[in-house]
Amino acid sequence: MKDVILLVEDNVNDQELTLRALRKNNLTTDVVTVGDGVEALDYLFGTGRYADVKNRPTPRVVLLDLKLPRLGGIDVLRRLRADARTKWLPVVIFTSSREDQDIIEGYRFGATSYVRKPVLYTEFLEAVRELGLYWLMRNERPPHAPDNAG
Amino acid sequence: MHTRLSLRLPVTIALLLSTLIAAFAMLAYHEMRALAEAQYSSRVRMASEQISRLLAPVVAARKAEVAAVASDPRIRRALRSPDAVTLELARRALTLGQQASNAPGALELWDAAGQVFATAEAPADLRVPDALRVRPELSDADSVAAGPIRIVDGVVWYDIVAAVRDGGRHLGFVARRRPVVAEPATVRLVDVITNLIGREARFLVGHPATGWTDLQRPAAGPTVGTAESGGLQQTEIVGLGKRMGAAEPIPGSPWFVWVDFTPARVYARPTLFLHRILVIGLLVSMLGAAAGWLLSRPVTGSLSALTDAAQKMAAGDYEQRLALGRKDEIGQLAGAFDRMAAAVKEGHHSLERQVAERTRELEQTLGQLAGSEQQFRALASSSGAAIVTADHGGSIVFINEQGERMFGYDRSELIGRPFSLLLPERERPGLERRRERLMAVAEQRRLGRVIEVTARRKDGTEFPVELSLASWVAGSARLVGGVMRDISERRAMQFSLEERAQRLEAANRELAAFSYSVSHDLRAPLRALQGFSEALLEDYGDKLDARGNDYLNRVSAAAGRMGRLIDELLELSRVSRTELRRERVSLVPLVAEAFGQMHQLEPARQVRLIAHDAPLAFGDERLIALVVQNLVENAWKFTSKVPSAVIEFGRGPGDAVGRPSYYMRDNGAGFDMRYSDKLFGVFQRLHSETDFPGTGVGLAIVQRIILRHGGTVWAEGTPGKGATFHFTLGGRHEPAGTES
Repeated sequence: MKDVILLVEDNVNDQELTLRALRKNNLTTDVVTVGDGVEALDYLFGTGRYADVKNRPTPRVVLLDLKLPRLGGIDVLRRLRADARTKWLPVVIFTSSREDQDIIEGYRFGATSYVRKPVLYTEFLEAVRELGLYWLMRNERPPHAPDNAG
Repeated sequence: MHTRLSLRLPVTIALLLSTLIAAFAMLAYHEMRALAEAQYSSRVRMASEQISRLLAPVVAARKAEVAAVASDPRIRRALRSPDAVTLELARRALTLGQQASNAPGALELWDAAGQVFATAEAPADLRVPDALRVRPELSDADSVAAGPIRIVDGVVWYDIVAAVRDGGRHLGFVARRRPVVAEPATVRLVDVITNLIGREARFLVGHPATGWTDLQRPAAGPTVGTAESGGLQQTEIVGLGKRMGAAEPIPGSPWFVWVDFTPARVYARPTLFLHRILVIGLLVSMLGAAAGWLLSRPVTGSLSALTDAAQKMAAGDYEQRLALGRKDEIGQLAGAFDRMAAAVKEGHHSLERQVAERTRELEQTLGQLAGSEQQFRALASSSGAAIVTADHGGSIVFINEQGERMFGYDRSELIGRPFSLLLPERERPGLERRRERLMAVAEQRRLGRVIEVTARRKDGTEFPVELSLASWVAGSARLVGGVMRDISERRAMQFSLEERAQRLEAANRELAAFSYSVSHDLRAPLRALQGFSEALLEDYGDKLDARGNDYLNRVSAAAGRMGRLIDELLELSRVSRTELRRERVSLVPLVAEAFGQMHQLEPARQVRLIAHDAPLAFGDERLIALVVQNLVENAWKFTSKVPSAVIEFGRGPGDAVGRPSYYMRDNGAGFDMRYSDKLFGVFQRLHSETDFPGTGVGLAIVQRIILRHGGTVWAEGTPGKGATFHFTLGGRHEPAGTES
């Protein structure tokens, strides 16, 4: 099964910049992009729009924005951590903010990592490159949870 | 009882001696009496035995005489065949028998039936009384026997009876009636006996039942108890009083010999001994007393001197000294007395001094008291607070002018009324509880804290007051004082303050929300602007001319700069909002760390850091690190055009109240002091962006943090020579600790 990254991002500019950065860094992986929290959960749990989608690979990493329409990033995180199937799924909060409140909540509800999106393009490229290399190449994916054998 | 010591010793000795001697005398006397009794007992017994032995043959002789008459044949014949001839013959025999003894009395012949046959009288003037002429009695066993003593008309008589027998036949009796008279033989006998037992003794013959005689006439003797023989017998004898004697039976007769003495005679020697020893004892006691007096005189003399001295001292003469010069206990006592006298004199003087001092203090205190009373009145009337004093029962006893004004009452309306009148109904129970609790506490004390209650004016309007209660004791009375301050204005101010605080809080929340929003939403478009201009340059830079490239670069740079500005503004906002957590902070390591970071960013630059020892600061470590970081960054930046840059950190002169100050100095571009007030403003810059890049927020952050710590920050500078930034951190300072 091909490696995928699940990008949860409502801002199309950031979507484009992220994809470009991956591309520029030769990280040729499939990126599943969803525009809000509900869709993210739909993809991961095979509900809603993704109820009938057969090919729905488990992402190597979820890049999760915090400010999202409908269901916010923290709520998504809580739902993922509450479910046995996604309890161990690597979720990196990838957002503009560096507010204490966000960082604290992110970690409290089980974020695997917290990375701030830089304003400067060069820095942004660097951040995405490091994330891609790390999560796609370096990191060992967690095994399926025992009660998620399907 | 006050007995002088000089008398007490002799008296004690005399008493002691006399008691001892008396005890000894009594013991000895009793012993001697017992001894005397024993002695006399044996003497009496011996005498009575000897007398008895003397008398026994006399009795036997008398009996033989009568027996001889009774055995005369004429007597027997007359009784066997009495006729004139035989009777005459018998009478002759009787007369012969009578004449043979030549003693007064009578011989009588009786037949067995009890008839007198014949009588022969002695030729003496003493005739036998008729009362004695009774039928003789004789037991069958005896042939002759002495009869009992009988006393008639002051004469002692006795019988001797002999039986007249013919073969085995009893014919009659011959009875001899004989008086006891002073015959020459008897007188001799008495003389013999008297020589034997001594003149002080008395001896009697007789029987307790019938009477006693001294062998010449009747005599008084014991009436009971002679039968038993043994020790000395004490008996009461009629007409003689107490006698001590012993009896001894005379063999062949029913009589006893009785020898007795007067008790005085028996006890003469013990009594004499007692008298003597008592006299001796008296003398010994007197001697002992005299000796005691002589012995004690030196002691009591000294003691008298001591007593006199002590009495004089008690009377107030503290100059008394003994100085006896003796080495014994008395001398030591006198020495101790002298020392005590000296101490008493000293103590007395010191006491007088103290009394004088206390009196002065007391007068002073009284003066102060009067002063403080006036002071209280003055303070009470000028006080802006209402002062009310209540007695034990809660009745008002005092209220000051302000109290009258505050509550709208006249003083006369309140004095004697309950304190609770000044409060609305609902507040009264609470106040009562507090007042009672206050009264229950024994000592003078204030009720811990000031409380806020609602008070009520005369017109019924209510207003908030601050009330503090105190209780004290004045004489026997327990008073409670209340000080009340109208806090209506303060309440109003509090309300407005609270309102403002709420507004401020809301503003802060808004600011936080704004910052949050800025952080998220303002940066995204900038990132797009920056990102896509860069992407454009990357992908299509070669399709644009130089000017196009330049313009795109400007867009990208502006967007990047705005991103930085936003970041710094957020930082400033953050340092304003975060809570201070003060702890001890060591500054030098923070300086070194910040310097290290700068060096890492620009390793090519040659900058020297001089960090001196500096006291520990007390503040939020994270924020202070930010201060240090900004100042180091600032110094680093403005020394970028100096060939040998030096950054120096150390301890400053301190502020006015002794809190430590710190400084960060550089030898960089410096600044014109005229613009120093702009130095710490947000986005304020004294140098061009091209010379020294920056946003102008760094020093604003520094100032904000310092101010939040209650400290101050100021700068000195000369263009081209460098700048020095000073700061203090306020709050608690730690003068003890310094850094190494």
